[in-house]
Amino acid sequence: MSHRVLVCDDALFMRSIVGDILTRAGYEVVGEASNGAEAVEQYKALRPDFVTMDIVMPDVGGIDAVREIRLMDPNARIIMCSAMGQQALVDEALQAGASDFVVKPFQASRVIEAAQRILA
Amino acid sequence: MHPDRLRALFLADGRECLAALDAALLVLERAPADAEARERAFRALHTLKGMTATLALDPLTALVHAGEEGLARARTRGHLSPSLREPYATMLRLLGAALDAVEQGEALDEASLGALTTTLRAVTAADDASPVSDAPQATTDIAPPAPVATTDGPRPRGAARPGAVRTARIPVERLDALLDLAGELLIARDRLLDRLPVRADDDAPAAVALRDAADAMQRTVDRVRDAVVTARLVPVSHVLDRLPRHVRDTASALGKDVELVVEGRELEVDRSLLDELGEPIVHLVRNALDHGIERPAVREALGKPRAGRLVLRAEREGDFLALTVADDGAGVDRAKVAARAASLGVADARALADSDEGLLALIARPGLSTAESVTALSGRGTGMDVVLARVRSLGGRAALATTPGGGTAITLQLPMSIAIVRALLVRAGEATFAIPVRACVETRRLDPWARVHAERARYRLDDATVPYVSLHAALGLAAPRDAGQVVVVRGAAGRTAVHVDACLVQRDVVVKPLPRVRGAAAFASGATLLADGTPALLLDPEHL
Repeated sequence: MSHRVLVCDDALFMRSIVGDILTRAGYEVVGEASNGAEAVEQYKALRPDFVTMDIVMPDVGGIDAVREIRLMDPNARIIMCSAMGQQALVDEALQAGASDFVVKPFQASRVIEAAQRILA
Repeated sequence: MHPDRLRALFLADGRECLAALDAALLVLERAPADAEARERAFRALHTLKGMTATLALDPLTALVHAGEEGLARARTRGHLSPSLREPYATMLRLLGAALDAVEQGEALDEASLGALTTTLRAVTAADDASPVSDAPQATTDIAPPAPVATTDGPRPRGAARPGAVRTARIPVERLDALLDLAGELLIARDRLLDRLPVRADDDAPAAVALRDAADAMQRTVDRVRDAVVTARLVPVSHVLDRLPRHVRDTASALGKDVELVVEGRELEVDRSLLDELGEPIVHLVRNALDHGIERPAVREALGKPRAGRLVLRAEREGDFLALTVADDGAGVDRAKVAARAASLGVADARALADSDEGLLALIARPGLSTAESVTALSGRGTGMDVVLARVRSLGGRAALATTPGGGTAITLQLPMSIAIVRALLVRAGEATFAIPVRACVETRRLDPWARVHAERARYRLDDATVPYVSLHAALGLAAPRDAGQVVVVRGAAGRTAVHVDACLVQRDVVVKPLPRVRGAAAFASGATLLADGTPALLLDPEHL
């Protein structure tokens, strides 16, 4: 059975790109969220195998969402998506419990590698 | 993913980012220390950067990144430096143009983008060198815009609703296609029901079952129509939210102080209507700023507040949307309009200018402008006629109210949905026409003796004599002298008697806009397809 993924990004554009990359690689996108609060809600409802999470999102940002999801599920597997020049935020996210990160603009191979790594 | 789809997504999300950025920057101009607005601006740029980087639009990515840096510095300093205001305004403009270029498949203006990127970096760096203590200053009298609604949007970004309804962004073409299909479904249903081989009083079980099934289909198709119409609704904020910046820029170019008040921005209307409204509203706003609201010194001398007040109000009146642009300026000078109109050879100019309707009609005459001097902003007196023509072509009407020294209000009244209209189908000669039911007052059998020929043909009703037209004339035919029916139609200018051969039936018709060709069927506001597939013109009650 294919792995189920929740894609979180405030831009539909980005969600589509990530979703597309993952779908082609055989993953199943079971949900999308456009801010941290939605990500937490969706995680609770869907219990996906892993999550891709944008860092900068309105209201509740990605890092706070990581913290909340990890509180709910200490084994949650989360890949952070960051833009260039956000190393400090990436570090913060990893400390909050994110498993890995990829940098925008996304290369399909990088995203898939990260997914394979955290699912291994 | 298909490149076209990718591009469409980019454009939709990108424009959403720009709208959010625009709104946030406006707030920052007033309150440079507003941390929330700064973060909103930052997020908008950030989201945009992610997308432009993905699409390898490097000049855009570099510019947006430079913009982000400026905001990041503002975070450290506690406020946005006033020297960044101009570069950011230019950035908004260039980014908007860049999205348009992407949409059109044109090349980016790399020179301008690069130059601005350099400027932004330089200004940000220079600000860094200067002491942090330059006090933030409030700079405009324009009210900060209300929170920006997401364009085409899923959910309001401000309110994260846990477990919110899942929503999708749908390209307009698909909605249009759906509307077309719903229209065809309506037509097919009518054809079927017209030919139903059972009489209403046939109570054989098979006939009853057939009628029940037909009733059920009738209701379901009505609901499909309603659902499709509802899906096309968008809030008027799509148009109104673009205005604060426009008002500020225009007012400052004219040396005027203006406070803008926007009311009813959440009201929903058909998007095809909204697409058509942007220009007329901008024109009315411009007129109010240019000709209505006085300069601060003049206002002060008159005992008015220095800042003029401009109100944009959207309201629902039954099936109509009423859009009002009101100012508290000088009001229209009736005597001056009358004199100008008289000099252009308008008969009865003085009498016309005494009533609000007449005054509006005079103002809307091409070539009539009472501006003391023609300004670049309001152009040369063209415009009002274009606005009114546009409003009429949408099946609407305009009204004006003005008080000397008290201000002017212009209200555009437009049907909420112009996509599907309830129409009375009538026949003249071989052709079928559709008349919007909302404009029909009554139908009666033609009384040949009621036709009065003065200078222009008129028709005598019980209480008055009204203009008479025959639809046969539109076909180049002579109207039958003593046969047929008369439909009394009411427009803004009053009633008109329309002579037809026969009134057929009332139907919901899907209106297709007619290409705006000068001189082409001025009396028609659109076209529709009938149950048998033949086209029919939709009469424009304002233009008979």
